Amino acid sequence: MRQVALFTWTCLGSAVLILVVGNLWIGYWQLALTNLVMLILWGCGVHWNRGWAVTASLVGFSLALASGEWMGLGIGWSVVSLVLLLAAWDLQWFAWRIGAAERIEGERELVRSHILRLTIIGGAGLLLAGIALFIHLRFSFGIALLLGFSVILGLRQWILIARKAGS
Amino acid sequence: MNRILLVSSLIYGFILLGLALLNARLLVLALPLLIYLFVGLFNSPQKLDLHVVRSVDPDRAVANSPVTIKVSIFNQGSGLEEVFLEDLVPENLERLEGEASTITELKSQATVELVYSVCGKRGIYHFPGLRATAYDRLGISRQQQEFAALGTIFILPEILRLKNVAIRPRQTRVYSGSIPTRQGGSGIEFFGVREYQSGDPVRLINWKTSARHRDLLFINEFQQERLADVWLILDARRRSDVVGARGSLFEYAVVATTALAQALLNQGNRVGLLVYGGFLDWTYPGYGKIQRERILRALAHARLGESMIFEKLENLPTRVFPMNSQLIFISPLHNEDLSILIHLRARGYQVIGISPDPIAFERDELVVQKAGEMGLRVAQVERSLLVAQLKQAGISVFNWDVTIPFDRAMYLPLSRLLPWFQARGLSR
Repeated sequence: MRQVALFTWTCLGSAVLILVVGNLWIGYWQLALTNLVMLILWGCGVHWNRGWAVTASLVGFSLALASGEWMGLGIGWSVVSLVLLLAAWDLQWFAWRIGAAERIEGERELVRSHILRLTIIGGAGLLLAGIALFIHLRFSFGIALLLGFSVILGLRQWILIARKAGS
Repeated sequence: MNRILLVSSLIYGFILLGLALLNARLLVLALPLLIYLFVGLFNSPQKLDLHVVRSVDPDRAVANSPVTIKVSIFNQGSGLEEVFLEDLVPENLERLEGEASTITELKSQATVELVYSVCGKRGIYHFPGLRATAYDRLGISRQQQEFAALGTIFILPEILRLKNVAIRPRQTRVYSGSIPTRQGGSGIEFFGVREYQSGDPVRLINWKTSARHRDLLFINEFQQERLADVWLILDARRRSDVVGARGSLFEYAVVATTALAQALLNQGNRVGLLVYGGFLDWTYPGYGKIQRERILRALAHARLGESMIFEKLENLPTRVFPMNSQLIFISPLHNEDLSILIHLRARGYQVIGISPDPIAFERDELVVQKAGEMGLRVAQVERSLLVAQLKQAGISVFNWDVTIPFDRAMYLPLSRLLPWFQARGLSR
């Protein structure tokens, strides 16, 4: 459990540090402040075991990150901090999940496997994002229309999932 | 919030924002999230196939004594990356040690065990089963199922030992037992002398009496001892109960009923139980250990109840009780009960009342003020009057101050006949 907490706060701290320094570097102290507020919200969520607070904090971080990217924060920093935030969010939920059990059988193996998978996913995400940055595609109007159509279809599917989850 | 929904929303958010702002770099931000979601969904757990076996040791116990629960879970299906296993423990059972839930990786054909101990108050507790929630390693998708692993614990009421309960019903059964009847025959206690008849054993001839008569022989007769039908009626009307710092008076009544049932069955009698409260809970009369178990189980789940029909004793189904049998009524008693109990006595039933004293039970908790003292005295006088009226009608009422354990309080009163009855050669 302590190992999971250590990884969580390391990932979160690194992500927030990157975002705050990056935003201050490009001169948007408001975004840096938003990130710090999100960090406090996250901390409160952890302290009082409120999952919604941590999730809301992740959404807030993502919005701040997208805004920073729009304002000129380097994409590399954005991707790295997003992966770190995702890892921290995942680890926090993992900690809550295993904390709910009265006994953790094979705790070491369970934590090791989880962190390993998360590392692979994070690495793959960074790699894919890195590759994607070097690929430039130009869409014709037709393809853009097709993509838009698939986004609408995807949205419809997403709404169906959301309704199912709600029921 | 559903985690799939959240990650999907973020992905869509980045894609829509990227398309709207014509910023390809925002689309790139969706990629790590997309991989995360994809891996989570790809490894989502299949339908669970677990075999769950529960053992409860012991399955019947007395209040607040530990009971060990062991649940073995065997995975018959595919391996599970992360599974949360939670045994559904009935409410009101207190956990003493061990764990009733675990999280683990459960490979195919592997077994995991949950061992814990519980204790509880009087009652019957049913274990519904085990809840298993399987996750992928990231906890993105989950599959929850409940598996039946039934088990029952009987927490029996405290069993106090009464050495003997002296009852004298008017009518007994044909089998020999321990209750003296008003008939001569084989037995231990001397009953009388009668004229010798052909076939009588010679050793029973009373030579002294025979010597006084020229042509006649007389033999000794002994008091026959038989079994009897006894009905225990436990008053479970909520209005009869008093709750105080020492708990509920009803619990004391249950303990008394248990002790009486145990003693009467040990004497070989046929004992039945009626719990008269929100409804009628019957345990039909029977003998021996099986009947003892039935009565203990009935008493284990006896609860107070409220009912318009059974608010008063007038709906006591007297036809069910065998004529002239022994009734033992365990109740704090109300003034309204007087006429019904007298009516029962008039119909030939032998009635004994065991009455946990509600006034003595409450006395310590009432603020002793002048008005309070006066109230207590009035209540005490009313109760004494009620008991006296019942006694006058030939009903023995034993007032039990529950601060004294039932076996000690009733040891002498219940184990011998009252002098008044002895003098008249009557039962109570």
